[in-house]
Amino acid sequence: MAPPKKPNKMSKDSKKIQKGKKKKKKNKIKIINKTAAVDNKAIDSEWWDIFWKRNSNSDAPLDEDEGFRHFFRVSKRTFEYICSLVREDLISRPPSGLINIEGRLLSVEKQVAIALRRLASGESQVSVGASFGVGQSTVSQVTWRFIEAVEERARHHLKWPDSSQIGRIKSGFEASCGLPNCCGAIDSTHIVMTLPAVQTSDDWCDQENNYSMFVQGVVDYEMRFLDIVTGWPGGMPISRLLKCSGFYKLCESGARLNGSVKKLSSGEEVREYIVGGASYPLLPWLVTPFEGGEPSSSPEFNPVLETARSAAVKAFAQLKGGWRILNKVMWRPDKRKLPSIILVCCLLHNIIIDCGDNLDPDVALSAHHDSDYRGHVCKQVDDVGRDVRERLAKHLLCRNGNVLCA
Amino acid sequence: MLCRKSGSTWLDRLRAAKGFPVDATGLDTFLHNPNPPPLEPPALEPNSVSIRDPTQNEDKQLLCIMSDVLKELFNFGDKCSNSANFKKSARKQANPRFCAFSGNGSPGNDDAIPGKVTLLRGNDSNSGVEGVKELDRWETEEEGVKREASLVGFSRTEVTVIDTSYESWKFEKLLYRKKNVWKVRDKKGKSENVGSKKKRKLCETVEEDHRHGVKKWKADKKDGVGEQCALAMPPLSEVNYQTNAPEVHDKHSNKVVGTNKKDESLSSENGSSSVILIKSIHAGKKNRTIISKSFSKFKQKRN
Repeated sequence: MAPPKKPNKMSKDSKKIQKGKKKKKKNKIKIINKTAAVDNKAIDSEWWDIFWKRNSNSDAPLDEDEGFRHFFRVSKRTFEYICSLVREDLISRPPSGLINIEGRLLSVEKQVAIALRRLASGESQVSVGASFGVGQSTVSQVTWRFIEAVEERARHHLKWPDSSQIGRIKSGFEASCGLPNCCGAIDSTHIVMTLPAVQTSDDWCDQENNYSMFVQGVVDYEMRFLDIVTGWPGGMPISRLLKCSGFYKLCESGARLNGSVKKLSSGEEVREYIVGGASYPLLPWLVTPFEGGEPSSSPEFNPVLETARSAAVKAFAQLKGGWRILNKVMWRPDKRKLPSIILVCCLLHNIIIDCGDNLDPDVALSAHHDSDYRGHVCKQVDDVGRDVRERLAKHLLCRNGNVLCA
Repeated sequence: MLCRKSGSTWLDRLRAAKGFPVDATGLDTFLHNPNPPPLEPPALEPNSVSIRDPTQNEDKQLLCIMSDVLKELFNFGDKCSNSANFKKSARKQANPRFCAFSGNGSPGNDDAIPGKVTLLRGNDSNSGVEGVKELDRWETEEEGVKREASLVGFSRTEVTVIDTSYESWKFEKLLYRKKNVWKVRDKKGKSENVGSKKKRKLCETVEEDHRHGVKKWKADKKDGVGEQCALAMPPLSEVNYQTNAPEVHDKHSNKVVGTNKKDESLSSENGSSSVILIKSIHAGKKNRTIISKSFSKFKQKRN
């Protein structure tokens, strides 16, 4: 009986030895990872110190934290969060890792900073590169890698709200402007660009003779984007842009804005809807202001609607002001890439809100986000939409009457 | 010898057809006593080739006659009276109407046919006529797309759209425009390039749906709203990205955009750097959930 045990013992021993070896290996990997982390951290603090020293002499605030927000639009904490989102995609690995002029690998933090600075300032790649001590092509590569990474990994920051979230949004709109059951505000803006001579096409030429691309967004009362569509030419009529969007198709099919109806003070009910400007058609789920000769039962309806709609107008002014790359004339962009740039700016806009940073009103555009464009009135009026608007107008009239009575 | 044999047969036939002496001696006497060729080519009257002028250079004349004859032989039925005009019409179409006229040989149909002719000529890559070029573009780019009569005269643009209402946000569409009329069509035939199996599967299902003319809707029946409530994506296609991000027009720094070669070379040179490799994690659904979890943790921390 004894002999057969021997081999067992032997095998156990050998297993132990093997386990020990494995443990040693694991330890080694751990050590390696630790050193990697230490290395990254060592570079982390360095890039900001150097950048701050280089650039703090201009119009930047004196306070370092304020300065950080001034340059990158986000707090240091949100910056760390963004880095954690894209770290796996941006981490530099030899031999293909990106390096700076001194020959050191670019840390994820520095890459994120470069990309954010490029998007936030809209300055040329050369000048952004100079402020970080890297070349133009590095800025180009880093920015695009960052855009691709954010586009993929930050999707959860831009999605249509679920039923509980939409309840919060409705009450937010009602509290801010008095419109019941309102789920969002819609607006659109042009991103102007130049095109190379070979690509110039009337299809991209808009009514103001600019080459431009549309971005349409639905926002909540906090100016947070709930839905966007971009990539369509800026010359398209807004009603057409709307019809091309998935949002329109979902709403028309009853798959979106199909939540609970709300009983109004007048006793009538109103479905879920969003508000839009006069350039949008009046639909059962999209309420627009009374225009020109249209009879209105409430003179206060238009101002109230405009207050609700201003969330979208302000959101675009904030977006274009915060991420100035969208407000400058884009120099010969790849039209396949431009939608991604626009999307990532919208995602960053939402990340700022989601992380609890306040959107800085100082960076928002002082003028209208689409000031170069005259709005066109859409004459498309749906009968059911007219009925919804009339009910809301009556509700506002009743509410004001009650207030007066009180 | 073989060459001569084989050559003699077609040459003989040619000579016979054009009324030249078939045998070599007869040809010699013909060459030594050529008639001056008038401006009108012999093609018009094959039997009247006997026109000769001893004062002209013999070789040149032979060459001229022979080239005319050959041209005539290989351009069946095209009987241009002027050799100069003949050359033009055969090689390059200066004016489609002219070509239609000469090509059909029926002047009465001149106004009715040019459209057809230009379409036929549209495939000629040498064509320098603008209208024809446009037709050519139409012909080549429209491959795979059904030529709908309603889209004639529309300009066509490929657009990359990002729409967060769709399950997959990014897709490509074809946009047709004629003044204020805009039409959107799906871009077909790109799904083959898509890399991952997952995406390919999605494409196949979507394409199938399109084939049946049914739009695929995916709605969360429980809530009706929310993340699930998104449209299935129109044909997903791979996008070829350029390496350079677009440059914003800046008044102060208008320096020319360089290439990325420098960076690539720099990075490869420093391949021996002491940074440790950490296995990459691709952006998949799992990671997205991890990220969203980390975000919620981050949010909790903040609160």
